Amino acid sequence: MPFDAMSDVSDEALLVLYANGDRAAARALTVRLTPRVLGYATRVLADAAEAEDVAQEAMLRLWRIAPEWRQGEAKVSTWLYRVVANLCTDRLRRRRSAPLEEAEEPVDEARDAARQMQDAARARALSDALASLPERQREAVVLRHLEGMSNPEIAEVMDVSVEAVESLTARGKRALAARLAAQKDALGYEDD
Amino acid sequence: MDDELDLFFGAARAADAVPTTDLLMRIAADADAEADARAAEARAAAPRAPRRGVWAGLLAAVGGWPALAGVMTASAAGFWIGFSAPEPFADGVSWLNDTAYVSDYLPSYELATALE
Repeated sequence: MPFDAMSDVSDEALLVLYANGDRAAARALTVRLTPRVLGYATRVLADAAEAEDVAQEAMLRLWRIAPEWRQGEAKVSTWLYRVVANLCTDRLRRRRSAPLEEAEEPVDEARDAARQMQDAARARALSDALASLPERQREAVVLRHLEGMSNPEIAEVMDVSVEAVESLTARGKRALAARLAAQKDALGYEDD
Repeated sequence: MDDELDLFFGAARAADAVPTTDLLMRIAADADAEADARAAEARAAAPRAPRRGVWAGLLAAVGGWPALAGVMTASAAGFWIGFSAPEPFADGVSWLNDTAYVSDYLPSYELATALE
């Protein structure tokens, strides 16, 4: 079955098809879910190579769970975000136990550049600011404001209450704002 | 604060990481490898026809259990007869109601001898 013929098929149905031997279903899921998994891992880890490893590992776990997938219990994407969150947490812990490397300074190359460059600089600045947040706040902010998930979904991914998610995102955003305010002039976001 | 942050969030969403073709192919290859492994496991776990042993072959050769039951009954009967048979008597002596009878199988021979 070609990919476009599967665009209306839910993630869960594709996973069941794959478990029953339909390899085209796995390709459709790969194309559909990998960008989301990779984007989330990249934002949490701020490291492209590590994020690729996490994305591949998370998808491998999805292939392995496919035959035992219990339909109707959880959304495939929610389950996958949870796996990515755990894999990222493991890597961040290993990083903390490794010798600290010199942190990269936030780049302010967009000072006099055009809007496109300014956006790139903002994205980079946000990435740096996110990296400075406590791990749980970072996860909550990324899931809420970059992955566009609802608070109940985030609560499921992070295995905490909705109230805890609200608290984590609020504190995370305050910390981000403080961090980014220091670069306000350099990035010129008051000009928008 | 939210409006200011939204500018950053918007810029970050626009700069989404795009998976490389190589990554997509590695992930799809993992899916195929898992499917292959599951198919191999399923084949290995499928029930096989039991192999026939030497005794099963012999049993089939004599006609299966019903035929063997007949053979065993006949054997048991022969065995019992062999054990329970009375002591052999002298030729020509038999018993009936505690009385011994002598059978003369060749009376004409003895008679001819006596008449000589």
